[in-house]
Amino acid sequence: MSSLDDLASDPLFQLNSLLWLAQPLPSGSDVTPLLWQRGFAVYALAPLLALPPDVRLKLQDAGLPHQGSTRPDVVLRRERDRRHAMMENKGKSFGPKSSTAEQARTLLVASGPRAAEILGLRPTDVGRSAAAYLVASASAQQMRETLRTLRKELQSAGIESGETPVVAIESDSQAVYLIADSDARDFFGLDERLAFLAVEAGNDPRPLYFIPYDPDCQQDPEQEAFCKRVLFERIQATVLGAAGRALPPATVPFEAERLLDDATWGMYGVWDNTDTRKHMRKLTRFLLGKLASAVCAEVQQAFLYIEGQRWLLNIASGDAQARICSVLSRFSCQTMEVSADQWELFD
Amino acid sequence: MPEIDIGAVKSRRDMVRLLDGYSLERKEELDERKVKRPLVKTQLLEILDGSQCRPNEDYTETFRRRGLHLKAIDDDLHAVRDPQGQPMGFLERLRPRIVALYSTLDAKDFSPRIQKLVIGAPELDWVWLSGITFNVLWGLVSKLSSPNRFVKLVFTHNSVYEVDEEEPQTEEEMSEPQEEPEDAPTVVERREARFQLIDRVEVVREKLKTLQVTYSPLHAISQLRFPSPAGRGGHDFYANGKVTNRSVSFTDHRLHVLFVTRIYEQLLGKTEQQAWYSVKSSVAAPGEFRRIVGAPLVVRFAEPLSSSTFDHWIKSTFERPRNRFRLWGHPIRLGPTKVHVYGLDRHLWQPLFLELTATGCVAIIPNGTCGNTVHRLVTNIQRYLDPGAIVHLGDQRYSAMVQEASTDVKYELAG
Repeated sequence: MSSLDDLASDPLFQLNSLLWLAQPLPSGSDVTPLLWQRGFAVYALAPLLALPPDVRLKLQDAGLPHQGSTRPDVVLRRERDRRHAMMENKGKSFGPKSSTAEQARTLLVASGPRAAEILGLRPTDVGRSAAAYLVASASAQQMRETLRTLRKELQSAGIESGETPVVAIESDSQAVYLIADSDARDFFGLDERLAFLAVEAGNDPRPLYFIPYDPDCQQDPEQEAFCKRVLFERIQATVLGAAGRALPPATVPFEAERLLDDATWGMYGVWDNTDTRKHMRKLTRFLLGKLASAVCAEVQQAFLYIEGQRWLLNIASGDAQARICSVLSRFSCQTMEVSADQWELFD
Repeated sequence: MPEIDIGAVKSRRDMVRLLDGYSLERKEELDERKVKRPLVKTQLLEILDGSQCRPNEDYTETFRRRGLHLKAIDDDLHAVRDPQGQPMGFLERLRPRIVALYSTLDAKDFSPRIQKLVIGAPELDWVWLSGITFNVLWGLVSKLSSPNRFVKLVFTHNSVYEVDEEEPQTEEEMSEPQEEPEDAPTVVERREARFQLIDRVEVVREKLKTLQVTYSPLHAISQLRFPSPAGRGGHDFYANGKVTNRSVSFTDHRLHVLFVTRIYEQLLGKTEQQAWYSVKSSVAAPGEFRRIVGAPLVVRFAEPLSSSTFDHWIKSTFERPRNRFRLWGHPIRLGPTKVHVYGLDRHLWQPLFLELTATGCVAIIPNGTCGNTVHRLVTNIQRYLDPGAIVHLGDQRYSAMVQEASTDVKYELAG
């Protein structure tokens, strides 16, 4: 089990916690949806936000390094007062001179008075807006200082920015908490310290992961291995499900990109980084190669690679289907091997 | 099918007259306590198209693929014969997603045939009436029936995971309590409750809620009789969508079946509307702004499971291919009483993400996974883990959703 401190600074844990904080849940759940209780819901996942040309010119003239566009992890919206929070999760804080500060400047400007047009909305559709950061509590102080510096720089250049609430995650043996600074208390209506995840003795408090994997996130090896396992098991479930539902004789096609899109709930499609996408496809190809070998050892030529990141699963008969499903069911994404137990397709 | 000539049935009217007459004869025999032939029974089944959770247009193909012979009587009604050509009954599409198979086969013959049919077909599933759903249906029975009518309720709870034992081999074993062999090597002690209550509607109405507070297995209603307005007797609904006609009228039987089917169909729709998780594009900026929509299923146990019960549940469900919950996955251990599973509903072969703990269960139902998965999960949790479990979809009580689903559903009295 991960230490709670490691978990609090893991970007995937932060992202998934954030998504759970904005889900409708009954009282008494292990997750207390503090943001949903205050009216916030997920408006967009990793949307591409581009700055208007005039703002980019101003930034250039002021010599402030920035990105032309950025993708905050999540945009939250509160319907009743059209409040928008462009949320960014950070495992570690960063300084105003770092490369991450370039993205932060873009986000700060995007959440300013021009937020409505940047979000593609009418001016009346956006009330208050903010670039909000979710960090581990150990990083919160530096995060606040960096954001303060960045805002001052922008202000000096005559560029307006949005509010900059900082929400920190910390834990003890009882619970995982959100620690809200004064801006976050004001913007989200949070108290200073509120528990949002119950910690049962000996149990890892992490919730189910909506988004299982992001190769651009810096994770420690243990967290990365966990996330990769979740990603692989989701892909395995998709392949097994398709094999089980097929009506033999049938040929079921699989495409790496489609499988990744399913397993990451569309996030694969929004990753801009070409290397990242290539890396993800390589991972998928690796897994499908292992699955195909395992299937072909049981039913010859049943799972074949076709050019262009495509595979075909040939299910010739009900008997072949039972054997294929048995192998796919027993395959472990941890060991990349098939366990010895014999399973039957239909009880 | 004993002494029923389904070949002679040329129209819907013929079928109704045939089964009405047959029902009347059986009711007379029931009253004399000398039943000579099996009662009319109905099996409700949900039909899927095998890939998505939407009605299958050519639903008859599903049955033909399994060797059944279907002969059309009208657009929505078929006479059914088994692969050997023996009569099985009549198949009627009641609603786009739900069919009813009416039969006069003996239950001992009928149920295994249905089991074989459903287990082998991911496009078919039983209709799952959970204890919570039955509680709402009981509320309707108490409104519909005269206070002096007799009602019958059966409660079934079996804490099978208190001990580690093999999973049952058949659906029948899953649904019926098994007699312990006399030469059983050890005496297994665990909570097991199965009893029936037959009393006047007004008495049950007055007592049941109080009793449920005192003794939680009384939440796990597994069978309920709707008294027939057409005379004595009624219609026994079972948790797996089987309905036995103990009334004088098949017409009245069908009306009750249709009434519950409409409620169940609405419940399925509401479940899927509420629970289905997906990432949707915004209308304002298609393809760019994706948001997560959906709500998790959250089950809170009234009493936490012991760590050994939790272990048996996980082992039994994910390490043994035959398991009551019909789930597949590789549990990720997150502590002594917590696992995550990114797996499948192994009957429908549709994805399902689960967090299972000693205090409850959270399920994420991805878009397209059939609402039946939710109702089977709730039914099994009440039956095998915690009869008093509190269930929500998002922040809405499951029982309130069933209640809503039953609002404004037409109930037509048999003439």
